[in-house]
Amino acid sequence: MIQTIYHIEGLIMVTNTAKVVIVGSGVAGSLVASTLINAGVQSIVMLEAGPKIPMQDPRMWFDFITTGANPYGNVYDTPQDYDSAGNNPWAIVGGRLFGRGGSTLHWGGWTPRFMPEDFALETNTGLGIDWPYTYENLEPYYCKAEAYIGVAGVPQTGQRDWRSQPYPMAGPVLPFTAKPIVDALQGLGYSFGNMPVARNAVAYNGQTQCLTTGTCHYCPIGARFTGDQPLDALETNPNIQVIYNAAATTVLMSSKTLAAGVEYLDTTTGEINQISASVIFLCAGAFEIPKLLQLSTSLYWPAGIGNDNDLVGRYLVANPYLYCRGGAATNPLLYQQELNFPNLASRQWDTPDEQAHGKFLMNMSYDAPIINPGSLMYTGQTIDEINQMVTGPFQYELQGAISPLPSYNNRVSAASGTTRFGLPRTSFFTPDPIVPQDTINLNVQRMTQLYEKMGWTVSGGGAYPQRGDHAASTCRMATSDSEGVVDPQMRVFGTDNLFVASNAVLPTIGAANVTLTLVAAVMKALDEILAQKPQWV
Amino acid sequence: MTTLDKDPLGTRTGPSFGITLIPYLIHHINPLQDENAPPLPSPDQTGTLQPTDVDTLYQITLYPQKKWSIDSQQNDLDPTVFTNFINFKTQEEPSYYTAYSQTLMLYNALVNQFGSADQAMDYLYTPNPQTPPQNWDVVRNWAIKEFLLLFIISGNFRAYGWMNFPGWMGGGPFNDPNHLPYRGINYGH
Repeated sequence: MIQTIYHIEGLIMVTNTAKVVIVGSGVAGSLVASTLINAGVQSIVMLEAGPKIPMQDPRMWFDFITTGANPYGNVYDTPQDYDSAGNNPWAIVGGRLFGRGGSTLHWGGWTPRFMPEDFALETNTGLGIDWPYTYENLEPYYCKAEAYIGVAGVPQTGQRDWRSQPYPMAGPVLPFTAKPIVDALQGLGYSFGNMPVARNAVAYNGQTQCLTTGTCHYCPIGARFTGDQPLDALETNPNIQVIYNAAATTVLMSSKTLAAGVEYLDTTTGEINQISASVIFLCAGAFEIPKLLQLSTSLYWPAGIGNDNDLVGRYLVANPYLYCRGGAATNPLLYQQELNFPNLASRQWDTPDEQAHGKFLMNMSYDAPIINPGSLMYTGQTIDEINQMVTGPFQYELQGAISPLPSYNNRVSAASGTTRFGLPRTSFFTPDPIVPQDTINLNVQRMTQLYEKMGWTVSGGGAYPQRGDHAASTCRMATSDSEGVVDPQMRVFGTDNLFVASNAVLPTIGAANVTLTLVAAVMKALDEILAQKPQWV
Repeated sequence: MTTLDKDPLGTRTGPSFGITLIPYLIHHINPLQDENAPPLPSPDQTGTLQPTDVDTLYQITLYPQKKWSIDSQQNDLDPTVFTNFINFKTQEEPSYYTAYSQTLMLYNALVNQFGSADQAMDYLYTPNPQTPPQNWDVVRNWAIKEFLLLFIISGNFRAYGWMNFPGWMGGGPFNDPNHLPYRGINYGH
């Protein structure tokens, strides 16, 4: 990479030149980087706004199991980082993090596929838009994405998210705690199965076999895919440079169609730097990318890049998340969650019939019930008192995600001020509900019905405050710029060399977690881009 | 009819749907986080404890077997793992070297006072003494509490009838249905 240094207004401006600049080091960014490296690209610079975060660190893990602290606990949004207004104002703290590997550092590794109808929302309901392709078109890439991430799953007979290849690894047997819910589901004639998960049933992709340690949010052995793992290999390659604490502030354009580079703030030095590039991939999530495009104004794009039709940042969605708690007065079977990662799920209501008002993917929380005798000992509980608690009242939580309904009015944009990561604060304006209250009530009632079938007492249910997990569609992919921001190859309409690889491009989302679908969609786009043999490769 | 509410327990800030709930997770693994707890003393003071001191801390960590009548056969915490735990905690920042040194000092003082190691350890594991000795809060918060959690994680949870527990490394892989490291759905049949 060529490097020149000169002074502008007292700041040292460093100009690098790279073939490709990637903004964001999360699962999409590292996938783009590794694909392009394998395709022969010889100069890639990746900008990551956050710091390096130590993973698989023994000391960190000891701290995690004895204090609950983990090394990414301080790289979340804070309440000061955003403004929020509208219907059920968004409260995003805890939903994403800034650092090497991105938000998959903390993900649960849930990897269900979307259902076929999720690709045709407009056709089926008149809402939103259809994807520019179908489940059938994406299915081969789902298989590749599952292999890339390392998914363990249990095939279901007759599942509508049909598959052409087996899961890369066999999924776990459901735990004993699932039995009462399974019995209730069966008793009511409802379907159920195992949630596919990113867990290494065997040693896989250079990572260790899962030892069912149950501290998945900080796995001591890397047996759950996290976005930093691909970077471990990439950063040994001399053709890629990752710059941390680098907040991209502007995409620079040399003409209406040609992106010339990226300007970024080095938050460790305060320097403003520029990197020129032949092609740019924005992989920084559904909040940061629209803000970056909106703020990248120029004579060519006075309203921001790709925003001539005022669509950048619109159609903001995420999965509303429901819960329902229930339990009984005694626990003679010693129900206690022992398989502490996602397992039992039901897609009974994740169907076309539900699509117009919001589909529902239900699961059993793996967080409850859990009693920690160590903490009871610390507070002075006797052996008899602890045993009474172990066999006494207990509480489960059923949960589930709703497929959101898109609205033009719901939008993310930049607010005044910057965060500690040098990024613009975020404004959420969501005047329209992304799911009707009736849908929430209906699905809480469905979970209630299961508890009633078990003969347990329900203690409450509802919707959690809307967070930003699975936020999507803010630069949605469409077949024309009148409907979206990027084309089916994820290229920003009106540009030649600016791409968005992020949840931001998903035209709509289903009730299923989005990461697997994102990886599949990015793989498909990259396949098509590289098939055209671009000059920058 | 179900009552709809936001969070009747008031313990959670959001769902566990593919993400970490930091406040809840802390509560979940260690519900004893106390804002009024004393700070870790001298966290930048790293050091290596003598093997005899590590062994004393090991004996303190295993004392709950006696106090709570837990079968010693359940314990998987061997001296090597414990020594690694102590070394990571004392040799890297934030260092527990001073906290553990204070624990050893208090323990030795209690042994002298009571004339019995068991009585000294029992005292350490009994909350709220009428006249707390010096550094009682530091020792309880930074040593005893974490030793208890480590003790339970290290196989001793099995005393309560469970097969697995968050943090236990001994369960093994989940890919053999005939040797599950947790109670499977057909457990007992």
